[in-house]
Formats: sequence, structure tokens, C-alpha cells
Amino acid sequence: MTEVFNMGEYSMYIWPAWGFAVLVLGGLVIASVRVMQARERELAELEAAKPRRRRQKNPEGKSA
Amino acid sequence: MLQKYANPKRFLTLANSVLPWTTCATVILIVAGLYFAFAASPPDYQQGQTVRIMYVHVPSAWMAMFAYAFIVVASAVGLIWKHPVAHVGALAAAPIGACFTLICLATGSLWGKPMWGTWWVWDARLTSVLILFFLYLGFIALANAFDDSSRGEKASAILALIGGINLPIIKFSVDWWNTLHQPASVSKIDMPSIHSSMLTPLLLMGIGFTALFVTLVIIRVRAELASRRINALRAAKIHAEVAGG
Repeated sequence: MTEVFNMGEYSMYIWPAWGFAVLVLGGLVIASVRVMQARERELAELEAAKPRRRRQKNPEGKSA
Repeated sequence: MLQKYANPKRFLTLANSVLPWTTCATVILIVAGLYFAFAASPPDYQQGQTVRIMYVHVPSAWMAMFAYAFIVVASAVGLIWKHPVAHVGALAAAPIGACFTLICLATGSLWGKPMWGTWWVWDARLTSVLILFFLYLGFIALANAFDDSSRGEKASAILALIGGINLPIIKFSVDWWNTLHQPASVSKIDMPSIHSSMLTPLLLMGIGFTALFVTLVIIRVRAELASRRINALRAAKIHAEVAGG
């Protein structure tokens, strides 16, 4: 395993290159997921609070 | 088929059924790619261990161009057929493409220093990729520059189409001009001039990055569609209050 991580004289170029890629892509994934979760939560709250004026389907069979 | 998925709800149903698969594919392919990149491939006979940078640099460069091609196609579909999800898709892809371009530039620089003796040269390949990065930034800025989002979509889509001319320039820059950058090895018409031990990690990372791109586009499109729906609901609420009060 240590062999894998020891890239000799070029370690100072190889690891920053991969580290930068991990940082940028990891940050992008985390930011994208967080924004999606926040927006979808907000939308769910808004839709729950909104009084439904028209109902196309009535699966429960209750009167609207 | 295209028109069918112009409906955001129908698009979301399809996208959400694809999402778990692309997420799994991303993880498996990138983990396998990393194994082959670091453990199961030899150092290069000329470049030594620095060849390991290739396995992140080249797939990032592919994705930088692929994401832009995606934006060009999505923008054209949005402009011609007034496909609303196409514009949202183009907008979702832009930051992802910009990130891959940035990774391509940074890792290239870190590879250039030990191999060429310089971090940067103003030659055709490097300069055209830097222009690609600025095109992404311009696209994002222009899309968000208008209060009316549909005007921003249209303006940025036109910019994307014009900027599309940069893609063949990047691809053929190494053949058209004298450059420090090496020409293509994988996509040569006869046979790729690269050994399979190095081609395997390259392709695994490339397909893994593509799966990551699709996953991220779906996530970002979902966020944008939710945000548009929120705005529409808020506007309707204000409208109802004004009309009622």
C-alpha cells in the first residue's frame, strides 16, 4: 500500500492534482445535493400550506 | 419523444428513475478507475509516475468538452422548439462543465511543470481551453443577468451556440498549430496508440465522470424546477392576496 502512495520525486505534483480534483468535484456534489434538498423541502412546505382550490383526482373518495 | 419530456413533471419521473443507477455507476466506475490508475497500471517509460495525473487530466478534458457540447445541443433545442426543460438542463450543466475545465487546467499545469518545465504556455491547446472556461463563466453570468429568466435563457443560449465554434478549435488545435501539448492518443482513427494497461483506467474514469455528470445534471435540474415552482406559487399567493384584499 505504501508503494501506491509513494510517487517518488513527483509526489508534489501528483497528489495536489488529484487533491484539487477531489476537492472541486466533492464540493460540487455536496453543494448541488444541499441546494436540491433545501428547495424541495421549501416547495413541499409551500404546497402543504396552500389551500387546494381544485382537485383533479380524489383517491380517498372523500368529498373535497 | 423530445416534446414528451418538455413537460417538467414527466421529465422528473424519468430522471428520478434513472438517478439511482447513474449514482451507483458513478461510484463503481470511479472506484475501479482509481484502482487501475494507482495500483494496477505501470509508470510511463518516459514520464514516470507523473502519468498518474493523466487519469484525472484527460477525462476532465473530455468532460469539459462533452458538457459544453451538451449545453450547445440543449440550447439549440430550447431555442428552436421552445423546450423549457432544455434551457434548465443547459443551465444545470454549465457549473459542472466549468468545474471539469478548471480541473483540466489545474492538473495540466501540475503535469506541465515537471514534464515541460513550465506551469503555463500560451499555445493553442491551453489557450483554447482557457477560453472554454471563460465561455462557461460568461454563459452562467448572462443566464442570471436578467430579471426575466426567459430573456436570460435566450441570451445565454445564443452565446452557447456561438461559443460552440471553440470545440473543434480545441480538438484540432494540436494538429493545426505547433504546440507543446501532445496530440491525441486515444481517439486516433486506426488504433489508439496507448497500451491497454493505461487505456483501462482512462476509460473507466471517463465513463465514471460521464455518469457523475448525468447524476449532477439531474440533481441540479430538480433544484431549479423546484425553485421555479416556488416562485410561481409565491407569485400566485401574492396575486390572490392583492385580488382578495
